[in-house]
Amino acid sequence: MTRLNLLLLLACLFTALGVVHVQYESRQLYSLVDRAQRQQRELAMEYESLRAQRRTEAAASRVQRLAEDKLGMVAPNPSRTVYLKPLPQGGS
Amino acid sequence: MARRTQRRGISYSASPLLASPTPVWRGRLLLAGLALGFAVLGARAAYVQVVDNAFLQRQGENRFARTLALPANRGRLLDRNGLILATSVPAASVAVDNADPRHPQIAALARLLNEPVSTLRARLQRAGKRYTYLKRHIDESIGQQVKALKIPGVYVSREYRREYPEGPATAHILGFVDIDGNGAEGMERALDKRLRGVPGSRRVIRDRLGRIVEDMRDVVPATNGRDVTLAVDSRVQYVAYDQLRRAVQKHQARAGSAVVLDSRTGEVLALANYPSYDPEDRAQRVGEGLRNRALTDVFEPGSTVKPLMVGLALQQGVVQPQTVFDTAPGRIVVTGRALTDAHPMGELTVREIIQKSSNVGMVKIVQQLPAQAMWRTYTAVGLGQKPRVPFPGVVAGTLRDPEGWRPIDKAVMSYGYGLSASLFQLAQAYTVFATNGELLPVTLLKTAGPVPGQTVFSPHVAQEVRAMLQLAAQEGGTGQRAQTTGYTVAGKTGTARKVVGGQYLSKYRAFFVGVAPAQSPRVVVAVMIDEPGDGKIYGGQVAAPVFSELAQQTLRVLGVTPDATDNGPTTTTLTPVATAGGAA
Repeated sequence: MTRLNLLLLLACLFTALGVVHVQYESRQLYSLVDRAQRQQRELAMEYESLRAQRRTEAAASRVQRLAEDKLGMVAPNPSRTVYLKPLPQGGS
Repeated sequence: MARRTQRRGISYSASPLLASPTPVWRGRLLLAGLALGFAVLGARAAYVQVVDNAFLQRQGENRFARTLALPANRGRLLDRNGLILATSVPAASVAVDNADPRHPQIAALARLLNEPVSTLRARLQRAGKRYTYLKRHIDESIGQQVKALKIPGVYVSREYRREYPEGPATAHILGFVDIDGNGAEGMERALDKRLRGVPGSRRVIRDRLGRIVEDMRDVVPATNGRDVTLAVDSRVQYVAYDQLRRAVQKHQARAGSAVVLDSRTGEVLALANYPSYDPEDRAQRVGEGLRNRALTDVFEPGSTVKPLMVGLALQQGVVQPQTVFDTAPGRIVVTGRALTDAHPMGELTVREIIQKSSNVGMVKIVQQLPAQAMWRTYTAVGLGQKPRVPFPGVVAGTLRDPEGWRPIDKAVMSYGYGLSASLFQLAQAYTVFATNGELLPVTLLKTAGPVPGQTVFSPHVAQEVRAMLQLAAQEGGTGQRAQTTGYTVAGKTGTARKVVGGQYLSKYRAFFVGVAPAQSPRVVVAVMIDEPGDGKIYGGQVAAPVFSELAQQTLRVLGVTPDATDNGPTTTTLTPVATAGGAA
């Protein structure tokens, strides 16, 4: 009887320690998940910043300035544009 | 012996000489007292932990639990092709709270914040123990460097900054947000509800290293604001802004505005004003430049309303396009006041009255029309009413009730005096000539496709007036400089003297409103140049060339095939290229 009680006490102790350990581990993992999520948010924000930056670089005003001042280009107009007409359907 | 001693009391000594008889009850009393003490402690412990545990729970939680706000992202503004017009990007803000102005790293901080050291020291002194922002919305990387200085009492926080890639070109249509991210002007303000998200929150447990280890209850997720796709085409918008800038500078004008509408859907493809401002620079967001002139400035529309009155006359059947009116000698007297043409033109058909923009001819035409009908037509095309766009500060212009019109009022109203409208209203009014006589509802948001309008004129009348407008924009018309390579155009010039306090000044507004291509219009373009200062004042001289360039570039951007026959473009039939699939 005493031996059984001792055994149960031991088992109880082990499971108690187990609970503590699992809790600890779950918190560790949770903090990892949280960090990963935060990183995801950071990256998403960086992505948005980069997209905005790319858009700014490609803004019409900048393109025009570079094209005219640096590359000496002029805006096309219809008199110097060749228009291609698609073949009428069924012309094959 | 021992037993007897016990009975008498407790003996603490082996020696009977030292034995002092202690009564039994003292020991028992002490024991009972101790037991009671423990019982009270036990009961108290049970009470605070089991029965009334809220206080301790709260205190415990305060030591490791934190409520975090989850910020919601503000939605983006996109142009009709999905290009970003406004978006929020992370930025850093630097704040101080009881920082030491004599800290050795202050010089480094001053350098990072781009501020003289002495100024910064003075600011820290002044801030004292109050939480004060030093600088808001700086680059994240600089924020990181400030953090790395590790000055006690200097904090770096994450905020969001609004970026506008197209800058001044889209400034008036988009507006801007205030420092806290609330829409303050333009579409940012009009669409604030849709763009703004709902911040969420989460309650978490943090360990001693500040890592989040557990969520204490369900996370309330942040709802991000929705993206809104505007009707604006950023390429057209830029062309409009750029052309205005050039024209205003060339003519040393005070300002200029342009509106481009899609004549099938009523969408606003561009709405630009010059001078403008950089919406990202808070210092520039003051004064004149902020005004969205196209929507907020009203002026007498002058000759641009003549086609509306001719349309009415045709609709009512009182004139035909070939009906001849004698405008000689270039002046007409209405109740004692002489109304004149720029120069005498003799006999003119209704067509030529529009083409040459004869005031006298217009007066003679509307003398056959009831005032009520004129008022109804003006009202039907949106004059005197606020355009139905969700924009702050939109004005209605003035259009008086016809009951009060004297003959002279009626006469001058035929050629656009005595009433006022914004450039935006004129652009919308001209949708009746771009469609088959229908006034389109205008919208700043992208729509799914063509929308039905409100019928004002019959298709036949609309086409007839459009043909007259095409004449006006050709050789021999007042607006011949509106002609453009590749596309036919139809439109009307206008020049209005500015009025201040009921007095006409010798300052002018030159404008041009038209549609293109003339055969099957795709766009309505309205241009206004305010106070041209180089001696040229007429719409035909100042505004028509801007219209020409703007209409041409817009149609090119939209991929419209040129329809003009003279000095037109080369058209080549696409030769099929042999492909592996042999589809041809």
